[in-house]
Amino acid sequence: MTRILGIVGLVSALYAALLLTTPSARDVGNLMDVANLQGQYGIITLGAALVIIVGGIDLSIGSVVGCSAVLFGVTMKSGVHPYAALPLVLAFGATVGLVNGLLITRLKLQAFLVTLCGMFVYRGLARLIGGTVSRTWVTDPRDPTAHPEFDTPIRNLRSGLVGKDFLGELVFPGEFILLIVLALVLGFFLHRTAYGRYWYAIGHNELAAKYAGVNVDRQRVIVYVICSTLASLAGMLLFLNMPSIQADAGGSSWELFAILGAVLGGCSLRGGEGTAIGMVLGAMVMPVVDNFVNLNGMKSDGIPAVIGLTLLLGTIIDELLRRRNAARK
Amino acid sequence: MPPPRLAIANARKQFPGVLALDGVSLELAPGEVLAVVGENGAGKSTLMKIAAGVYRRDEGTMTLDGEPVEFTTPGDAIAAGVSLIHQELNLAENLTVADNLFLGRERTCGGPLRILDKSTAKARAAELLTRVGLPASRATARVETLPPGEKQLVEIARALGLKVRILIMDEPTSSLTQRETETLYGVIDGLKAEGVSVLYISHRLAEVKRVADRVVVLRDGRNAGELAKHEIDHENMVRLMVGRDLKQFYPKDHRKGGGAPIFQVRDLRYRNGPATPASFDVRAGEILGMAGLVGASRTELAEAVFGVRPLASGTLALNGKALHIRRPQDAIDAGVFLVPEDRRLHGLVVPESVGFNLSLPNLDRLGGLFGTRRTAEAALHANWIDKLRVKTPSARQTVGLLSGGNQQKVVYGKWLARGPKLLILDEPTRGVDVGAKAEIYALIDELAGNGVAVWMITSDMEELLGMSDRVLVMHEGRIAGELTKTQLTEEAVMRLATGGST
Amino acid sequence: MALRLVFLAFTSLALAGCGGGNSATNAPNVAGGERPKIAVVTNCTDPFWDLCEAGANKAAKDHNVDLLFRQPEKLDAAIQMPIIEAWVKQGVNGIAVSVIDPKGQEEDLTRIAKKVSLITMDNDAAESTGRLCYVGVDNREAGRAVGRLVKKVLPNGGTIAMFIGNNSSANAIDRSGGVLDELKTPDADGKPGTHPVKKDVTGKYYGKYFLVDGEAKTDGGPGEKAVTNARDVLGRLDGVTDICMIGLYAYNPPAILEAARAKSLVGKIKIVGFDENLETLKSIAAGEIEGTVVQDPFNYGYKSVEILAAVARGDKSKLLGKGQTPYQVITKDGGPDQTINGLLIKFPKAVDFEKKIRDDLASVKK
Repeated sequence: MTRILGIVGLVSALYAALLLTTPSARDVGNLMDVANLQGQYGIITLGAALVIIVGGIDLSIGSVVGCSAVLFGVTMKSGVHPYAALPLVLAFGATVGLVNGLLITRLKLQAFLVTLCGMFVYRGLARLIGGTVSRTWVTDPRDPTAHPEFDTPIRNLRSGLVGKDFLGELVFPGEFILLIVLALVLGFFLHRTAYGRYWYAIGHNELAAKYAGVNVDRQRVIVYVICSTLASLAGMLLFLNMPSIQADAGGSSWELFAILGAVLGGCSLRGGEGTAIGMVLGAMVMPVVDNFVNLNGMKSDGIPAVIGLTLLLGTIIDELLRRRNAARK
Repeated sequence: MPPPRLAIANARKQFPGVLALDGVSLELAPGEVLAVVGENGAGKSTLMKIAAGVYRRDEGTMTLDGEPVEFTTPGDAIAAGVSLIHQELNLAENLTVADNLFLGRERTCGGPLRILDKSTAKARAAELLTRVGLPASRATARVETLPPGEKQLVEIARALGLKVRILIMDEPTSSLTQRETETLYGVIDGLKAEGVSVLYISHRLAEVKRVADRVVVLRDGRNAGELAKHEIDHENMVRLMVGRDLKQFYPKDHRKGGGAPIFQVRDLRYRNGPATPASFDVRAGEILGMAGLVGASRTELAEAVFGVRPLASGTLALNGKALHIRRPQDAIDAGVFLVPEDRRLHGLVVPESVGFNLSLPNLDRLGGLFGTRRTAEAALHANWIDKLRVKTPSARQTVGLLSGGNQQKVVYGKWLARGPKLLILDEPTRGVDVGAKAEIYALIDELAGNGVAVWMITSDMEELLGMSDRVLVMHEGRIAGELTKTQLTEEAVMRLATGGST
Repeated sequence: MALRLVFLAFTSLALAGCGGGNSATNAPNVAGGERPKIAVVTNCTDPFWDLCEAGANKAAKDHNVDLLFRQPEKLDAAIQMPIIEAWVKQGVNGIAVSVIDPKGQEEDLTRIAKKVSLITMDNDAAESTGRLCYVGVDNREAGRAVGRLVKKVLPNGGTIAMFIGNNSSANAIDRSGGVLDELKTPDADGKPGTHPVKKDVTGKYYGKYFLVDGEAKTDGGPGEKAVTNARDVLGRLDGVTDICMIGLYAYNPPAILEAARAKSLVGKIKIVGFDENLETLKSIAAGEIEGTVVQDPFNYGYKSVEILAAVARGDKSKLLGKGQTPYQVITKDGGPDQTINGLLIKFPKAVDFEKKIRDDLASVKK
């Protein structure tokens, strides 16, 4: 609970700062844009946080996002209907997670190494299967190899999942709603079922779980599968949301945003800690800071430092709050 | 006659470079408490882990109530009714007590969704906790908030919740207080009455004498002998364990009696510590024992003196001169050293070599202009490995591969090389086998004989009574009383430790 | 059903939100004395864009404008778009974009152009997006200017070689095509043949000029390959006189010079370049490189802001037609301005131009 307190305070403070100092941020459309960005990062934060709870790490998230986005485009371009391509790409994500999980549990390789290699492999795969993909590239009526008939289903998917109307105007923060739904499902499993107990136990003390008869390896694999599947979902959302995806840039370094969100939200990198609501709140931080610098016309060269310092400050305040609470106990 | 509950015959287990078990056999009757004793490295833990499905044996047979069994995971063993309470605490400390009690066999509804049934779990948890003498309200506490003794009891309660035929206890009392240990004896008696068999591993021979119906002794991975109920005594067990008689377990050859008080603690309080300040002296050439229950803050006091915990008020003096200790380096510079309780956590860099560890606190004196002086370092290693009789193939051996006793000797070697004035020993022989214990006691005696002041914190009553020249007993963060050599009895210590008066 | 309700709720919220503020159109939307808010976003972070930023800053001062200038961290439309969206929501009066993926961004830019005055710079999007105009040089025209430089340094013809990053992107095709357009004659229009002196070197004839290997040599981007390409060609042409080496991407002219130094050919061969690499400008002043044609990103920034400020005040006369952004030609001694194909082209001295660039860069770093 005390961990949640810190992040609730941080998110409230950031929103307050944004809304008070920047009148133009109060625009509903702008707030929905921010919410959608929060959804975009939040979905992968859920996966990363889950992996962190079982004491692992997944550095391949960003590459899986990029690769899934490219794969989604390439699959549709090759003639697969968008409604069929979506589950196919999710299956691809699940497979990536399965491979990661099996390498880590069966071959006993370090998660850091396996997923770092995955980061290069899936980025490379994205570049091999396609350069730049976009909705237009899939549906362009001027291109004989394209499929203009997919235009409507793709726009339907975009309306439902992202919340943009047929013209591309954001009318409701679909990704944020999707994040809340996914967080509710994940939170249910994490806090109300035996699986959640296993994940916390494994993350804190793997041997304890093992000696209690828990199939530790299987639970680990499940968690990596969930993480990569969420990453591939995020990749498809990116494809639907963005004008175009470059294979070498789409989703790159998102794994760090995801891990950052998870840790800000109360997941300890040592494993065994974290709540679903914390993950959502943790993922909400970055986009608010981002919006602040976008709207205030900050110098480009200063932006990374400003973002980094804000997040560091947040972490420090969070840690101090927790210490004070611990001391009071 | 029914078949034995458990029969292991000719069990062999090879680890890389070590033959842990070399044809060990063992039979356990229904309702019997069988103690398995032996020095560290004798193969007790390996044997227990094979019985509990943690390891797989290379050779040999195993039957359970006459049926051959083959366990590949701890889950298999648990399903067959064999449960292990492990030496190292195996609880998920981030979860509640109730969560831990049912970890791996949660009561759930909703089919594959496996939704937790919290109310049933709570009732069942209360029942189990009561059996091990813990209040039912502990069920909802996070395990990390419990003192070590209670954690151990939670582990025992967890095993009770399983449908056990055999309960294996590996050093179950290592963190229990006297009262908790008595509760455990009661639990074991109850289990016996229900026909549950118990395999009991302990270094504490007094305990073995109290609980065991029979003792099996292991030495170097083989059966070394067996003692029936009436044969169980200290001498017999030690003789079988080490293969020779131990002339003098608690030596006092070197000590000439207490000298002048060289280390003075006055009104000491430390941050987040107890409100009552502590004052006491340690004399040159004496062994000052410090007793107390788990949670009496003995370790914390030692850490405060050593500079690990920031001081809040009070003074320290060594040889009449005031000591200002803000960090361990200050204490070390003054000649005050701490051999910590958990040597693997605080005492040694486990994956590094014996030599690395010996050199670590002495690098300032080994350093030359161009890095460490090789010859001086080699001489230091050879000297202390020899003096302390550390059983290691060379100074390059990884320290984590040595037995517990030899690891402990390396921790002593680290400090002795610097010429200590005050040596603080926190549980100096925890997890150390009998042979090495005798050597460590001889070493401590010799140090005190050379004028070093020794402050020994111990929960091992035999060790306390056997080694101390004088004893301070702590109770809930304050020094409850002092016992001189003549006043020193187990009853007197326990009375003070539980809050009574002298 | 429930989902639809949520959808409707959000839609009405969004409409309510948009209704009040920025129903932006191309009509003037700033009152007389007010400062318009203009935003410029580049495609990535680069010194090239620092010059652009300097120009934008100057225009902002000259035309009394609040300027937002962003160089996104990566060349990625997915990073660029949210920046633009935030600006639109904020209600800026005009946005200039260096488009990254013209096709993919078309739809979003079309939508945005309906709300905010939008112009493209450096890289264009389809006219159908409704962008008001494009600020950027016509690469074919600029290529022709390079061709004219070649003609000037080798008036009697000779051997030429061209160096570039790739032969596939639009600016590369236009640039090298422009050079050859300028050189070719009806009877020598890329006619294949062998070198008049070195019979083992094949190529194509464009007018009085022999192009080694018949096309521009590619190196895939800045790096070692750019130098080795130039060195190989010089090696094959050992002993040949009247050589002109043409470097068409910013890093190519210094790379060619490096290769020439290694072969002790500086001053013996002619080098003509493209873009305002500081090394290139210094070498022109030193007489080691003959000249370069520059896009003048400072001007991109200046023009973009100037145009958008004018539009915001209701003045559309500043909008540029196709090919109305001038390039400049830099030589050691410079020359008088000329009007070429209806554009006023400047011919500054290398030293003056270099000083201007350094000042521009210093002004933006402050």
